[in-house]
Amino acid sequence: MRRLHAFSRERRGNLGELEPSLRERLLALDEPVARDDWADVVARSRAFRSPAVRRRGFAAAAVGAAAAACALAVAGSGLMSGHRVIEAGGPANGHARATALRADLSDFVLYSRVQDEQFVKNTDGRARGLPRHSFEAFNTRLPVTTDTGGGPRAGDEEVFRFALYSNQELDSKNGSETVTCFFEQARKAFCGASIQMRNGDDIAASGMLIRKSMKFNFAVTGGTGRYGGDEGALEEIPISHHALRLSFEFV
Amino acid sequence: MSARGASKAEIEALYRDRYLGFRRALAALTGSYETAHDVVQEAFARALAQSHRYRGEAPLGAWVWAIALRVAHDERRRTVPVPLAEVLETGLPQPARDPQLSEALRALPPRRRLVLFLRYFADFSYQEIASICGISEGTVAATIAQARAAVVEALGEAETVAEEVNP
Repeated sequence: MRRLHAFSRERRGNLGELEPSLRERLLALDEPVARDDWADVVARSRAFRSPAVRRRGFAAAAVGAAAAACALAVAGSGLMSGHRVIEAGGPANGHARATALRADLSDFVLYSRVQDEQFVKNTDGRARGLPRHSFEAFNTRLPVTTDTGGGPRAGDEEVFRFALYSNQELDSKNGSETVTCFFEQARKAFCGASIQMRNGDDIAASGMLIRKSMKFNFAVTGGTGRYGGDEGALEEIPISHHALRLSFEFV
Repeated sequence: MSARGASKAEIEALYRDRYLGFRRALAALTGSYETAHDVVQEAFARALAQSHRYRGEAPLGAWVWAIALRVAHDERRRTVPVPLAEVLETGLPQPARDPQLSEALRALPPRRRLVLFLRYFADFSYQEIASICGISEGTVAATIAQARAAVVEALGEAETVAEEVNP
């Protein structure tokens, strides 16, 4: 269910000009709540790189377009039917574009929901009849590690697959993420994350997972499309039992 | 003329201050609050991504509104092939909630109706409406006055008819 709360500063000063009865009728049509979702807009602005729109150069011609739209409205008839809109944009196509767009990259936030999780316990490979397991072969002089409840331990692996969303309500899908972790200490792993945005661009990150808190601290190391060559930080923090908040900060 | 640019803070402030007005007015254009919400978000996302292109020649609200209109128009054209003459007319998104008002608004000439929606649904200033529609502020004022008078008269007549039917 969507989290709803009112905006604190809605401007309706112009209604004061109207006759009281007409004003009341217009106010009665209002929906009383709205979402305060600026973070969604910021995330969407990152995803928005439609080549078609860039070709049109809509922003530069904004006022002229407005006048045209005004004129179109004069000639029009019939209401638009309700439907969902907005594609996040087309795939990036080359280094030149990535370089050109990198200048206006800004920080943004996404949300994720766990889709799958696979845990591979390697430390007791010999106990499981795998004496030639590569990790165990490397440690043949060490006693067999057993998980006494303090794991995951060094050598264990964990793979996560997340669906990404633009909003905290997790109803506006914006890509996917795969995280592969290799535990190098008990409950602490070094992970690599591959994030694929809805428009096809990728972000690569790597860093630590603190398993106890399920908190990821990653360094953004690059990507494809408009993220090619970008560096920064990515922090993933649980916001519920199944969802995380991803905060990207670029340098 | 070089671009003045709009800061992220300016655009965010505009969004927080005017989101409901934009959505309300775009719902009048698109016929759906849900679609309007998406159009508003897309418009502000584009504005944010292209903020360096804002020249400061029109109020920022008018500039973003222009983008929103283009988004709504493009979406309409992308999803439903229609002649250009049949795009973006304003109307109450849920006419059944006030059929008399809906009818009174629909009876207005399209230009007056649009200006009325921009003024009282999106809460735009005269300057912003003038920039959006490419007309003078005086024309905006006159158009609004004519539209209001027509709506009030139509609603008065409707109430009179209702009283005669149900004395």
